[in-house]
Order: sequence, then C-alpha cells, then structure tokens
Amino acid sequence: MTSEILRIVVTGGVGAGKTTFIRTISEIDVVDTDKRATDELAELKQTTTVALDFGKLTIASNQSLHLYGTPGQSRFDFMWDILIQKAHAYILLVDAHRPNQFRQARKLLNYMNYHATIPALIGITHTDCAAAWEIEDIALALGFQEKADSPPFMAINPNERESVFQALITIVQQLESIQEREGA
Amino acid sequence: MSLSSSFTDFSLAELFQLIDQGRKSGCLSVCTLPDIKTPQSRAKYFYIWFRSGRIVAATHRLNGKGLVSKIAQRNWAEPEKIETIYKTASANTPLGLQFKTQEVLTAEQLNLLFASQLQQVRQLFEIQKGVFKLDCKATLPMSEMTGLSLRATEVTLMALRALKNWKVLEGALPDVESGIRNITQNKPQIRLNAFEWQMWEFASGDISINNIAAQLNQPTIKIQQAAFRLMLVGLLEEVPQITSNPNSYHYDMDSTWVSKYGSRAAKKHQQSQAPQVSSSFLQNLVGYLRSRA
Repeated sequence: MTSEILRIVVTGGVGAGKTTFIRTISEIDVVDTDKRATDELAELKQTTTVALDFGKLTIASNQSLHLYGTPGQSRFDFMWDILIQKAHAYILLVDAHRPNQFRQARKLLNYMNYHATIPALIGITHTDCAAAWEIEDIALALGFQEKADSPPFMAINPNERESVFQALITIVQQLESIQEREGA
Repeated sequence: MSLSSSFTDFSLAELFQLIDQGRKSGCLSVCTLPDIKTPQSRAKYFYIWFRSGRIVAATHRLNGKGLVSKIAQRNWAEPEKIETIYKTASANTPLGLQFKTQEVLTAEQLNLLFASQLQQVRQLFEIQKGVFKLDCKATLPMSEMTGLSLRATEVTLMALRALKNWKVLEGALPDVESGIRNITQNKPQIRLNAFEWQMWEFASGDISINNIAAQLNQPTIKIQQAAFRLMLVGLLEEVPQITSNPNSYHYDMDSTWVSKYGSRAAKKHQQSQAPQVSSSFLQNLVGYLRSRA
C-alpha cells in the first residue's frame, strides 16, 4: 500500500503564531528549532524559529498530514525553494495588531504567487488585541482589492485546537475543489 | 476596531494606498510626535478627509474655518462677504462651491485653494515620527471642502517624487535583489514621468533592481524609490528572489541539500514536485479533522 502525505507550509512573520499553530495539533512533539532571539526580534518574541518546525497528524496507516513552519525572518533562502516545490498548500499567518509585519506578509504572498501555484489560506491571528486591524483592512494592506481575486481569509487562534482544525479543513477543501475542477 | 498605527510601522504612503484601493471615506487624524531633544517642540495635528478613496479636504484644526481663513488671507473677498457666506452656507454643499455659485470665487481660485490643502498633505510625507487614526464614520466637513477631490494615490505619487528624506520609508522599499512585476493588464491611467515609464519596461519579475540600476546606469536607491512609487499606485509588485548563500547560516545543514537546491535560481511558477494526493485521502482528511475539531 503506497503511503500518501499531504504537506502544508505554515508561514508568516515573527510572532504570528506559526510554531503554536503546529504545536496545537501535532501528534508528535514539534521538532523545535527555536533559538533565543537577539536584537530587535527579542522585543517581539523571546525565541524565534531559525530553521523549520515540523508537526504531523496520522489519518490512517498510510495517510498523514505534515505541517512545516517556516522561519519568521524575511530572507527567502534555498529552504523556501525546497518547501514550495514539495508543498500542496500553504497557510500565511498575519498578526492583526502588528501593522509593521504587513509588508513582510505581502512580500511572502508575492513570493509564493510568483514561484508556485498552490492554494493558500490567510489566517489572521491576535484579532482580539486592542490595536488589531479589521480583516478587510489587512486584506487591503496585503494587496487584495477584490474579494474574488483573494484567497480565503479567516481569523485563527493558534492556541485553540478547534480554530486550527477549522483552518486546515478550509484549505483541504480548497484542494478538493481544485481536484474536482481539474478532474471535471 | 479602528485603523491606527505609527508611521514607523505603516507609512503614510502605504496608508494612502490602502485608503485609495479600499475606496475609504472618513477622517484621517495625524499627530506628529514632539522631538524630545528640542524643548520647544510640540505635537502637531492634521486632519484629512476622504470620500471613496479621494482626498476632499485637509486642515490643521477642527474649527471648520480653515478654508475661509485661506480665502481671507488671499484677500479674495471682503471679510463681511466671507462671513455672510460662511454663516448662511448650506450644510450639504462644499463651501468652496457656494463661494463659486455666488460668483465670489472663480474656478481657478478654487483650484488654488485645493492645491494649497494638498500642499499641506504632501508635507506630511516628510514626518519621521508620528501616529495616525482613520475614523471611517466621520462626516465630511462641508465648511473645509472646495468641491474638488484627488485620488489619494495621485497625491502620494506627487509627494514621493518630491520627497527629500526617505528614512521613514527605508524598510518599505523593495529589496535590491528583488525583481518587479507588472500587475496590471492595461496601460497605466495614472500620469507617470519618463523615468517611471522606463521602470515599467523592466517589470517582468525576472530582473533584479540591482540589474535594472546597472542597465539604466542609475543609483540603486533611485530605482528602489521609483519602483516603490509604482507599487503604491498599484502598477507593480515586488518579487522577492531566493538568496542562495549557505554561508550566512548559523546552524548545521547537510551540504548535499545546499548543492542540490541552493545554487539554483528561482524560476517563475516552478512545476510543483509534490506528489498528487488522491481525492479519497482528502475526503478522509476532512472527515478526520471534522471529527476532532
């Protein structure tokens, strides 16, 4: 029996909740590559991911979901190249109360859109914070003027299992729709 | 929730782009922060009103007398006449238009008044430290309006062409290693200068800003700034490229990976190497996730 793996990349800026998102649902201890942050990053987060986070969910003996969390810093390196070649879809987490990260999120989207054609979901985190921007405004800041041209946006709480599962359901359903369209 | 931040986190130029593209209406309050090194320095306030993404009025106080003050300063009407029109003005029509209807001001004079408001807006782009808040529920101040309007991005374009201090925008400029990509099918409707048109020709996504600078024989910063202007008016997007310098890593890695993947330049829309997954797997997965959600 051939084994099937669905690979989803979880990306976003520093502190957006990527590692937490994966930890919340992974059945294995997330392979943690967090290191103590230095310089200005330390003001946002005490640790930051320097390589990849990896989490896993086994669906059946031959079927599993793999989640890869990218580093939060801005450099697009060879690891991105590997990731986007192997990924089936990606989730971009954007912190609603840190407008200084919208630029980087927009760059990430441009990078992904230019180099790959895989489904995306944009998860807005920290929506309960006082300074959080509305999802509609964040969509504009990320360059989406028309809803029709934009990937789905949803509020996500990376600490809540239900919220993370809901995000995964949404993106897997996108993949299903694409398969149905291509098969039709 | 309101739309607020500081200019160091989200620049005025980016904010104007958001307002324009989102066709926002309301009042933008801007507050410049005092310089702590200068004892006399105080916070300054400024207010800009938008309707459907277009600037309709701007003033530095909220007493509703900014426009009549400008008319009085220019001696374009008798003070008594100005006062009478101001006091009897309709609350539903821009005050500038009412002056024109009563043949107190000409169309050209209204243009000059609006240009003066825009000049004040353009000066805000020089702010290095400040905060802003956009109130989309604010009503439009007819007493400050000339009846003229201009797209927020057009004002941005003019302001950035003349901007002297780019420090606050340094982090927003496209990376020198990035390419720039045309994101519109049609010829731009916005007025570009000759240099911006030249940039437009390089917007294939594959040529880095460094290379464009070399080909145009221009400083890289000038190319970055022009690319940024075109990004803000919705003509271009930055395309970040993969950097392939494994020496800059401070963690261990398998060098065979680097040799396999690291030296390869990124290509547009690479064919995905992800193995196809069956629809039954996707169905199982959704069922599994639903059962545990």
